[in-house]
Amino acid sequence: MHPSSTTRRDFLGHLGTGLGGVALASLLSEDRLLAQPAKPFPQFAPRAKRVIQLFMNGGASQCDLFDYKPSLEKLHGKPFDPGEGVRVEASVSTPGNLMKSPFQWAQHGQSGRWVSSALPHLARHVDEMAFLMAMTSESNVHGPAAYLQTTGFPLPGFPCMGAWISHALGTINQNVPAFVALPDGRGYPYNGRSAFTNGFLPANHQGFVVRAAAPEPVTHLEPPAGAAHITGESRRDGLALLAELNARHAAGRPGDGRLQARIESYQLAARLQLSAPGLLDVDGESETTRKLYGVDQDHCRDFARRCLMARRMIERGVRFVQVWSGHGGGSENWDNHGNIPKELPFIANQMDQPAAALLQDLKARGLLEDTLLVWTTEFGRMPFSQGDVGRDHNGGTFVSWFAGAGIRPGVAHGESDEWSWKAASNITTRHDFHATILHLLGIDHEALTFYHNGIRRRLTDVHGSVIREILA
Amino acid sequence: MNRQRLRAEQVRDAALHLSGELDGKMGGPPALHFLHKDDKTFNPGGAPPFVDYANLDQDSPDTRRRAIYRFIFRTVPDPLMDALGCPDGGSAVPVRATSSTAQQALAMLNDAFLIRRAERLAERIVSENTRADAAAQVRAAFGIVLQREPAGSETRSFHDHVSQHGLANACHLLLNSNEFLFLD
Repeated sequence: MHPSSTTRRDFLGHLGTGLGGVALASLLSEDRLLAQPAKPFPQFAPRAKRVIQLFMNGGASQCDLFDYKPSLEKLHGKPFDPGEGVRVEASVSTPGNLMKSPFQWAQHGQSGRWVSSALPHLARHVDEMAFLMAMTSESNVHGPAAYLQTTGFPLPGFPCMGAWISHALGTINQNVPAFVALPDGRGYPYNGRSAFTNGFLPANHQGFVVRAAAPEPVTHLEPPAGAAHITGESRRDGLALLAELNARHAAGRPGDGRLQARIESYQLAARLQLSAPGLLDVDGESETTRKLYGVDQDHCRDFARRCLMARRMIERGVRFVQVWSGHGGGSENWDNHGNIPKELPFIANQMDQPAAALLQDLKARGLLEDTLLVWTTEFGRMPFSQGDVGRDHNGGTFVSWFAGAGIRPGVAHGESDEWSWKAASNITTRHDFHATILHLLGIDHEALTFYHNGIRRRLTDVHGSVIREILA
Repeated sequence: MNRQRLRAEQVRDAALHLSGELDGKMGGPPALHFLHKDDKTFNPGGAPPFVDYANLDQDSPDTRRRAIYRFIFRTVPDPLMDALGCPDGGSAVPVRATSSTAQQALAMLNDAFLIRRAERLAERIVSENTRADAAAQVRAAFGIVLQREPAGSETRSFHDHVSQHGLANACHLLLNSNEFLFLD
């Protein structure tokens, strides 16, 4: 609940908590005594202070990357028969025959995790990772499935995990946002801006979008070059005059927190204008680091620059950074319907080296001690073909992995069935996934709530358990 | 009525209306508020899309059309509308986001569309007022944007601002005020 907003709707909504309480909250908020409610989080010693999430937009194919199934090699080209009376259907196509992965499989590291030849760089780091081998999604449609992973709910309107974390913990540094989203240089993911939404949480928790590939990565940081009448001096005088005008306006309209929030947004904007260049300055990194991430290579430059920015951001106090691989268009993402041998390596090569470099760099700098690195997607793909050599969406099973703060390295939790069609044992839902991330940040997922439309909402709804098996 | 913040479309249309430029024509082809590279931009598989909002001519006829006629490029949204909480049109949105962020403040201060409207509003005030003194211009600007007379102290401080930094800057400030953006 936001004590400073007392619209009629909120007033009625809060009647249950006692009329006196509402009146008091309103009075106190005018004095700004309650304007900064004490943060009850973290509730216990956090293992992670910050999170970087790498999100594979489109549905990364588990059975071509991490989920090796010898039986797919045996049954390649045969009709898929999961047993008498078991219904088989795909999202947008007629199920084809079973299809083995076109890539070579090998075991890696001490842990002996199977990784395909599509990810040669990440394969070298499996001993750092904890794999969730049996994640499921209730939807196999991009929009709702991506909402399930980002917000826990299939419909729009709910806050993203980054917004919840921002709400619970705030930023580590007042000059940077708590939640930053770095969408693919080609465009936003399927849910557009809603992929970074604050939902019903206050808007200052929404993902701060940085378009790393654009000439102007943080839009509107400076006035356009053509606006000659806007000078440093006019801006300084103007902002002072605007503050006066807004203060006088707000004084005549007590109790509306939005007016004060807007005044404060201009102050944060001014601080951001100073801090943003430091967050984005990948050119200032050493040649060795830039090469490690692959900034010097055309095919992976965009993702490499954004992984490097993510590291700079967490170093400077950003709490949650989300780096997207692939945009929401019909190709150049992980939605490889048409041609796995061609489309998957195209996007995997853009992600593989930078992601591995990020893991290696975080470790080398000691940041992995209290930074959680998460690799995930919205769903997996079918073990049988779509058309000749494509794969359709599969909400039945997919793979995510964690690395870093508080994570037991080199383990795997859960298994899919013999075809990698459906999750079979130790299934991980998005609620478990979210609960585990909150737990690592020192937050009990059942305690992190926000009162909205008569319900104390949670990121995990009424579900979720922490996956203790992957914790150190 | 609860106080409401103007929605993205309302901010855009209101700015055009105040500067006297709003094209109220109904229907017709969608208005493109970005530069593009013909079919390559619009075809699926034509990624990366070339959608350039920064270099659009802010005096083009399409710019003056009402926001409901905008061509919405779902994966590369209009930065101003995006900052003001306009949904991308990809799916139904039960509640509009209308609260404040730093990005929104930056957009209101630095977006080329709003800066151009402020310049146009200043031109409108100059052309409509035979008296060229700053005090009369401040009164006119308050009357158009905030629909009231400036208070004594406001007349003085805005008079100084107009004298030092020009009328367009003062108009831009008024478009940034809570008084303009919130409907009582």
